[in-house]
Amino acid sequence: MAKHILYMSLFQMIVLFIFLFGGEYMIPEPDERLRYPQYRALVDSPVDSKFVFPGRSFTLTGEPLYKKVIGLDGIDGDASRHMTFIFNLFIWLQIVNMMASRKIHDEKNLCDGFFSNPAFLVIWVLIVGVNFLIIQFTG
Amino acid sequence: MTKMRVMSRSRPEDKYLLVTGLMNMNQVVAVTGDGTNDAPALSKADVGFGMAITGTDVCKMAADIIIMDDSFTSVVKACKWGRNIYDNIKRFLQFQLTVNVNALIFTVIGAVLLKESPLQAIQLLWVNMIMDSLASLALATE
Repeated sequence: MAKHILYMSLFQMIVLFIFLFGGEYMIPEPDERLRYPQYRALVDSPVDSKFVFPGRSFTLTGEPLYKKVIGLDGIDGDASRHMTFIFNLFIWLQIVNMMASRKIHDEKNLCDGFFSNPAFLVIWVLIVGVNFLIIQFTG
Repeated sequence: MTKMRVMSRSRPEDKYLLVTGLMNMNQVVAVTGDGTNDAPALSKADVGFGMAITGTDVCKMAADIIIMDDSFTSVVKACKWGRNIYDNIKRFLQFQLTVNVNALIFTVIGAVLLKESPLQAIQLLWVNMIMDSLASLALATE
């Protein structure tokens, strides 16, 4: 059990930190308005790239990442979808973790018997559904 | 003793002797019994099964589990249930510990590096209270 917890945590931490610090190079941003935030980056972040602008407020040395510029078309400054992506990713990692926790004897096939427990299935669908609502329709 | 499968004409004292010997060999021992003289073996063993219908009161007092229908197949059933519950507890623990260890490390290191937590308090509340409890419920019914 300790082995499973250790490796699962290691895996999740690597994935989360990659997207936390490398999000502006990987996460696509289809909405063109959001690629040009009201404030421009002080550091050399790719402002006119196809990816999200970073949702972090500070650089690693503690300098503010953004300088606020008033104006444009009323998009709020912290409208980056970077942190939403991080939260969504975290939830999905936990959902996969929940499926993986069903197999504790080192079985190879994690999906075996996935549909055999109606209670598990209902709760799984519920969590995925509510997560969808939270990501899509809340702030 | 390890090769022994069936022993006939054994007295309750032999039962007690067998239990003691097996437990000295670090085995997990379950004993069934119904009479008053089975009580020492029942209480000595790791798990004592007492018979409900034919068993005496002393035997029922000494037993850990009482078989209500006096059928030996119920012992197998009890084993299955016990293992199932034990597995479910392990599943539950694995899920909960992983989620919480992850949330903790991610928020602490994230906050140290970024001056702010990458996951907000309200998000963690949702993860911990709703998702974890529901998922644990799901895992407990496997």
